[in-house]
Amino acid sequence: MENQELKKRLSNIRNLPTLPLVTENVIKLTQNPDSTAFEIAEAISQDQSLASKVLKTANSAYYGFPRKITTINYAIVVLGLNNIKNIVLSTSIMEQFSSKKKNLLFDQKDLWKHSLLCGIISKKIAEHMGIKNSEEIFMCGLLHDFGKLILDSFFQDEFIVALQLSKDKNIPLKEAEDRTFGFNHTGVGALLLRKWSLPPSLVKAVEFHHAPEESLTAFRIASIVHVADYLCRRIGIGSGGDTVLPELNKKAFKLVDLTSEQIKQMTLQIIKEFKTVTGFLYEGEETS
Amino acid sequence: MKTTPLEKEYQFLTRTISSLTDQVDLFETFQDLSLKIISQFDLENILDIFCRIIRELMDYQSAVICQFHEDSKEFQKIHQSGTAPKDTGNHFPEQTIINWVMDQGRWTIITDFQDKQAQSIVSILPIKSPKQPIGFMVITTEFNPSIYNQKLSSILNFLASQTAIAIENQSLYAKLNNSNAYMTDMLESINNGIMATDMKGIVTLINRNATAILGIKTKHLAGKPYGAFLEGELKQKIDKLFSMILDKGFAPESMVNHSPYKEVDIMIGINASFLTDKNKKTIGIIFIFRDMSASKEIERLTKLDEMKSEFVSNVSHELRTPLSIIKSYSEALLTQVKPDDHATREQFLSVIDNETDRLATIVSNLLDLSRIESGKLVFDYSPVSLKDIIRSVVSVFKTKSSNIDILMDFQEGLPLIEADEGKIREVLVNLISNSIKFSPMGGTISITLEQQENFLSCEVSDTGIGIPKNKIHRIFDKFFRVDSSDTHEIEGTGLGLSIVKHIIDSHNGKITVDSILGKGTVVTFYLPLTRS
Repeated sequence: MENQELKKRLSNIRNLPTLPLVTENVIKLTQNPDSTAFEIAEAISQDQSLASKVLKTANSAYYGFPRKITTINYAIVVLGLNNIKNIVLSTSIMEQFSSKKKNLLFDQKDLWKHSLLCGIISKKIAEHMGIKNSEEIFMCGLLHDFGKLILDSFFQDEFIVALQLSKDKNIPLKEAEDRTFGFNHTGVGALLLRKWSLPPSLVKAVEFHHAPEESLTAFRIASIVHVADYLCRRIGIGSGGDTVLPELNKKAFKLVDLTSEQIKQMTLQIIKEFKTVTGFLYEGEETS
Repeated sequence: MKTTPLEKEYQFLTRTISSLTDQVDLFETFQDLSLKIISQFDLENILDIFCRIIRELMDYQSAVICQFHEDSKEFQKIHQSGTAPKDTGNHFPEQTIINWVMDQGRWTIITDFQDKQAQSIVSILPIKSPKQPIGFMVITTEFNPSIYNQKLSSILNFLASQTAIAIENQSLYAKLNNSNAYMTDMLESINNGIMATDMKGIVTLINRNATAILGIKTKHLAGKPYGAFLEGELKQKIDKLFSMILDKGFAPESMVNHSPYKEVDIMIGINASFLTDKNKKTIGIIFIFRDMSASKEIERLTKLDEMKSEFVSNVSHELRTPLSIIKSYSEALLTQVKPDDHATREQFLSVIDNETDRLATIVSNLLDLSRIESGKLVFDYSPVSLKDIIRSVVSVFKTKSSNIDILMDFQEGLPLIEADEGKIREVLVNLISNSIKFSPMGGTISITLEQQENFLSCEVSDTGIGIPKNKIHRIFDKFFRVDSSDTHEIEGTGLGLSIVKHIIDSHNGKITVDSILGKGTVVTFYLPLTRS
């Protein structure tokens, strides 16, 4: 699946973002089941700005814990390692990509809204399907369009061409990217996340969220993200850069097993809650 | 800012791999243990094993398990293991925290490690099945800030979810048992007999009433073919129903005379229909046995009621006729017949006299009937000569009727019988007057009397209109009157023969009727010589 052209182009970027060492440490620590809350808290506390962001997010309305969380250690035992990992990861990724050049066709803030919503819907679908580790799936939804951030940050000129093409021809952005670059945001995002040694299921979900059935090992998780992405676009909060509604994969939709009534309920609930929900991370983006 | 790498990469990897292997081993162990939880059907056992495993993992000071009430957020403590140290006595988490943890659905430590006063750590472990929250466990452990790691967290969550399923199964199991008992109670309290079989005729269920109605003495019938304990006509009927329902899918109600116990004879109605499972697949046949005696009794009472209404209209008519005749003749006497027209006066008065007699007879019949009904008809037995009674009654009739001949033929040397003279007289009056009534064209009535062993038999035969064959068996019924155009003109209340039958029965006698329509009727009654 990995495109040679893409590899070549990416390797030519000298300042390709790396994951901060703190984040890397935290992710490694969370992979070891014996790591204690103390160890992880200590790793996070090495970056005071990260630590304060984690505390801010932990106290946000999104989690809604009834008591005040004042220490990272307490945040970890209350929210659990998966949530903490997600907060740390998304915070650091956002910091990497505070865009320098303005792109009139592509608003990173809108993409972030879209990503956040997709993460939330992914989580809700996973809960509906009875999947235990729904926080992990939130992360998959949040990062599904990660490749677009890279394209906007490092290949902005061509990306603008692709965006314009999508707009003029009324074709999905992914197809426009393929025509312009010879590759698209799914491959770019997956490549970088893999480079950062993030969990394979996360990488696969990003890579296959437009074509779930092409992956044998990640069909389930990619399907969830695919359906969530589709629903986000229908709801119309945020933007993925194009306005063309992608085709809904029937197999994926069958797998997530949602009735139209359930979708309606979920949509209404999300639109109602989106304000409080954006307390998660969204504020961080605004301050940067 | 200076950030140090964790360790050398390979060291870190080795450590992680060994931890992961440990975790897998632990999971395997606890999977085995959780099987033990799941295989329990007793709530106490489930909670007990659950607590023991948790204690092995965490060495807690106390663990309290609470269960949610159905359809509400309220909960109730159902199990406790160990005792919390005194200083944490009031540390039971508040409702908002519990709700939050239930929402998140994973083991959560509540105590803030920064809290200087904290002597122990309180955590909540939600017990949630895929369908619903079941409850939660509040665990109090010694104060140890490094208690939390992912391994412990995932194992606790795993065990809690297994326990949730076990509790849910247990409650389903208990509900199933309850509803089984409920169904059994219902089946047993139904008045009808119920027997269910599978498609091969093996009994799967039978209630007490079925064994009572069918008179089955065999015990433990379930699992046996019905042919093993039913026999005779009953078995044949059920065989027939069984094959009919297999063949056609339905069977009409079938009746069988059955004698479940000595000297008890009942009519049983049997219904059969298919039993189906929720996919509409037929899985057996249910037979319903109904003791028809009650319905027969109702049928009888309904008929009686009909006859009574008919009687009321008959009687009113019968009373009215003589009354209106009396009324019009007396009116004529008072207003139209001249006082010196003695012939007409006499004629009118004799009509009134006759009609008054008729009224008197009807009323006395009615009185007799009401006495019979209430059991107050008293008999006064004494030795009497039946021959003399017959003679005396016939002599009365001979003076009245003109176109009827009454012949008598008595055997020589007949003994006296023990009987109530007045009542026997009534019998004869009734029989003879019937014969006269139903011989409108005139004819002959012959009365014979002879001894047959310990009985005297008296035969009253006429050459009248006769009784249709299909009505003969009913003529002794109260209020019954043969309804035809021939009899329409003839007066009567339908009470006479009913009273006759009652009198003969009370004498331990017998009465029979034989008749040919259009030719005549023969009524024969037998009276025993002595009452004993």
